Amino acid sequence: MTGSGDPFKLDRVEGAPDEAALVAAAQRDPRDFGPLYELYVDRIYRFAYRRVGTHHEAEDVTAQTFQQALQALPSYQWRGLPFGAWLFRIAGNIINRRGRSAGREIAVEDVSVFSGFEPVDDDPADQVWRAEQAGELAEMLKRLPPDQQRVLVLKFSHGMKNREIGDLMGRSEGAIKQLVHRALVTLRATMERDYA
Amino acid sequence: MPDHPLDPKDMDRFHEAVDRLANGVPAPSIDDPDLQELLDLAGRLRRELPWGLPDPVFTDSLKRELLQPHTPAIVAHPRRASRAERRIARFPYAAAIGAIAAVLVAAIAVGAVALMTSGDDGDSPGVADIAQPENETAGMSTLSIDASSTTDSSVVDAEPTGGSGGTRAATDPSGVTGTPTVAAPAATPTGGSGAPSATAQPTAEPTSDRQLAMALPAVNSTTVESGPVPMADPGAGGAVTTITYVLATSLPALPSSAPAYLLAPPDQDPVVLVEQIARQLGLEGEVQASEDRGRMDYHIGTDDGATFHWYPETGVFIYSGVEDDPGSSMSSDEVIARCRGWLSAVGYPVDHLTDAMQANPVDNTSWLVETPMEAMPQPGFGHPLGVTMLVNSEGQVIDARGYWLTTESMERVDLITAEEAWLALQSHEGYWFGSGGAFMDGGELRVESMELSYVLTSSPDGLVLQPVIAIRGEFAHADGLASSGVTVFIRAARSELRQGEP
Repeated sequence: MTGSGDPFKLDRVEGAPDEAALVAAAQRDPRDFGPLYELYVDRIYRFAYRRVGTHHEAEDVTAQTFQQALQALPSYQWRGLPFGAWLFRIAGNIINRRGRSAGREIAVEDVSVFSGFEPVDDDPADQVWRAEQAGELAEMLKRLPPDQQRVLVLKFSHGMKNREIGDLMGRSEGAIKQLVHRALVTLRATMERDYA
Repeated sequence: MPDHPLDPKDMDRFHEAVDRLANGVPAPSIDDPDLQELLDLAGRLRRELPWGLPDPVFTDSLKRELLQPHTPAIVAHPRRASRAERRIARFPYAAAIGAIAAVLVAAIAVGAVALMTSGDDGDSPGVADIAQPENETAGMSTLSIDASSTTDSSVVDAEPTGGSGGTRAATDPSGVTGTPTVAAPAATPTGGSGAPSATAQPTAEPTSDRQLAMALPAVNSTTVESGPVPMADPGAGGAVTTITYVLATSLPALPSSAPAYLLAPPDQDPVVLVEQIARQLGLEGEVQASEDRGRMDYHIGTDDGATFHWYPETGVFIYSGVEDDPGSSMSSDEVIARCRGWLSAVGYPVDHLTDAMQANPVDNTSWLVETPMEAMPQPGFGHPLGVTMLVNSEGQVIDARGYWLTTESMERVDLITAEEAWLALQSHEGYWFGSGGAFMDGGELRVESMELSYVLTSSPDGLVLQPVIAIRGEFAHADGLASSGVTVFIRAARSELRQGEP
């Protein structure tokens, strides 16, 4: 199964940050690992989630991936390949090992779970347009206040119910409904400002 | 915002519609144009937002953890004493008598605090954490071992012998804060060129019961080894004193004695060993050394992602390779033969592994090959003693990790009884392992079983696979909202032997 967000597709994008410089900075001072982390954390997480099938495990895999990457960063040598290729390799190894140690086969992606994000077999130009739209939306989401951002991610990207989100955020179901409404209002305002 | 008050019924319909859209189900339209606009946006979120985005709270906290200043490598092991701390503990007479007394007092006084904090899984301790004194149990037992061991020069003079002075300086964790490149020492190491000579390691003369028993470390969060396990269980560590204990089973009759094993990694300069292995694996580059929570990690990596890590203090190695293009598939026998060949090529002492290698398919593309050490009990915690390898269908080793150890001596030690283990548990001793988080807030441990088990422990004198009493049960957290399975490993060897008292 190939999603439109194929994690292994790491072509150089025009205007993308200079990864070599980011890697060099992080190697000089691990505290400068932040930009690389920001660049890849979502993709590594989604890659993990598609493989392991639960958010809990995806968080574990993501955390281990970045921890191991940070640990091994001094020995990493830039050879023009995207840094992400290395991260995905680490994540893949971690997932493989988890699959083994848990005594189960590696999770098979559940088509129904991902049906909402599967690409439609249509014009490649349309696919590119849709991917760009999705990227924009995700970026705008990151500009919302943290609790509004979180509630929309949990609701629309994790598919959680209001009660479950409430349990997680320590709020009542009613408060979550209000928060969803407020977040949508803020997001709309953000989009209007951007498109104005 | 709308310029009119929202009708509560419209709001109900709106939330219902949002829920439907979030579940990928079409929703009826709403009369209120403002709410309808928000609904359209909700529909767009469902359609366009990538499924499986991380929770922002998770990514933020992970980022904070990763970028914490002075956080050394984040490792799978529970927090343990640095080599510098161990050295202090090993040479109590190197400092003034007054300083020893101060250390003792501090170990006892601060140990109480450390005991309270030892439930920390050690996910990301900073320098301050590493510099903490060991907990009370560890501090006391280490000092008592050292006090007796100083009469035995062979025990006192147990510094690694493989390295030259230059390497020693570079590997001293007290002076290493970064990841320096370590040059190979000028002195010729044991083993010379070619494949590493771990198999040629001499077997030590058997020690007496008392000598071995004296070397048995305590069993707690500073001594128990987990090996190449990716991440420590969040609940691993020590207990706190606000736990009540309930015995929900009858105390079993346990063996009165059991063997303990003194194990040793190859007696070879770590840099040279890694260089030799790297040559065999085709890994080009310079060996790097970094400190990993008080442990040295010698590693080499290539830009295509292949790495080999060697932790000489624990005999742990981790190899992660890069797959070639797929070729023809192999049978399990062929895969096993490949694994043996791979281990032999890198100089691993394959004669210490059992002949009964097991190759099990993980999926359609790889095999899991497990090779335990021969005639050796397996630890009840952490990675098995031996090697675990992931091999693809063409027989290429893409991951290998485990312990690179040989047995130096084996002796039987007298064990405590189940009653004594129960009392030790109630004194908050032992190494706690369990899922579901720390035990910091206290709670109730309901003991359901006790059995003889083993853990691998480290001390300044080496690695010891020692018998423990594994006490299993259910831990109910103080808030009464959660419970989790817990195993507490209590040191089974009698402590009076360990202390060398007549």
